[in-house]
Amino acid sequence: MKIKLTYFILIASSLLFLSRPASAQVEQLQNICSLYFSPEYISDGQEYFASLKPDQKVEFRTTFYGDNTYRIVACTNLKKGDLVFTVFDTEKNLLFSNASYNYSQYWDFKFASTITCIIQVDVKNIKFTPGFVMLLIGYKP
Amino acid sequence: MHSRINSKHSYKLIFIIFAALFLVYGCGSRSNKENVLELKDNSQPDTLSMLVKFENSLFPLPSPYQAATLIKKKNLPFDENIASPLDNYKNFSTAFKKALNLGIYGTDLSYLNIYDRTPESISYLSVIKNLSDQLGISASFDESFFSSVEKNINNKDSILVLLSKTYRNTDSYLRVNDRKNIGALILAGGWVESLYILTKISKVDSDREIVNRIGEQKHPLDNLIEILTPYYYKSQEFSTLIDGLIDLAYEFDGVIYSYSYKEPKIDVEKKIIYINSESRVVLSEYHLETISKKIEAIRNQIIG
Repeated sequence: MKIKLTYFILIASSLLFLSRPASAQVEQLQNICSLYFSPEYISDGQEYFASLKPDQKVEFRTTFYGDNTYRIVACTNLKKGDLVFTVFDTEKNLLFSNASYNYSQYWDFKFASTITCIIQVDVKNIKFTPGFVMLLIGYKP
Repeated sequence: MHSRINSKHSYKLIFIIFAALFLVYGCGSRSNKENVLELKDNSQPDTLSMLVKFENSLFPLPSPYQAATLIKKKNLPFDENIASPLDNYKNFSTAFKKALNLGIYGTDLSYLNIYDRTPESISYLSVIKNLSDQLGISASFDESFFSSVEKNINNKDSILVLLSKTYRNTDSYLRVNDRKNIGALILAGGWVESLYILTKISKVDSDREIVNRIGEQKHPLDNLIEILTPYYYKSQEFSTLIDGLIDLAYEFDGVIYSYSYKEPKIDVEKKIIYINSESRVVLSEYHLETISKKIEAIRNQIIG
């Protein structure tokens, strides 16, 4: 009976933890992502925040101006699983994937010309528990 | 028997306590609903994964302050008539107008900043603070923000960094507090003003890079329309703004784009990749003129 009770308390505590307000999750991710967003980069003024489950991807298009250097930062607040961000052009040519570089949380991109890119974010680990990801984009003036 | 009853009772009590706590933290906030996934069926289903679309987060816009950075690079003369008049802010009676103009004034501030127009910059900051107070987002433009601005008033890049970070924090705050429509309007105002400034400058100096940058606004405009579309039926103001932007988007259909892929080069040590692919924009005088007129009309409706 004691074991059953302990088990029940553990499950209930986990549910309580997972249900904590999104604002706390956002703040936690902001703190993590800010570590990789150097002061010389100017944010595009938006914060991209999403919940991901195993087998899900986030995908979006954005325009990067020519003759500019950008930083893409992708982070998650969960320790299990490697966050992957991949950049394609609109013809689906692979431009970059952090999976090839030790799942680095950030990478800089210098564009010779203005390009519209597709950015995909997902997590590589079948044991990954549902959690949150955040993406930040900034440019160097 | 007695101990069995006691255990059952404890079990029930603990369950009730946890259920109550779960309801308070898990369901008490409307903002939690904002983060519920909107799973979307792709027209080309990926059997290995499901594509997630998170409202409004998947349509990024380039920073409107990049227009100021480009202008600074070109050493173009300052135009004191470009920025939106400050006095107008007293006439903004709806949250719709206040949010749009908060975006507009932010872009104006970035323009003034690159020309070291310190007194004007301070005035614009003051109005931005005022509007953010009225919109209930003054936490972002708090004392620490203004003291940082004061310390860095002569450092153009630091001001832009501070401003962008603050707008980003505002964007985040609005999303979490279920006020994404206000966030969308601030973004829209910023983008409209940056395109307006570029078109005004192109009339004085038809620098190729400035004209190309105007032509390159097609995809950002498409994204902006996507951001605003969910609010189309929210009010007449919203539908008028969106209709105006859609009408403007038709003009961009006349812009010719070409693109050719070239293999990127990577510097692993510096964590940088050089994207060498080439693109070209051809924007005719006719379309430049029409885009200029239409963006001016949209902008005048916002600031009037």
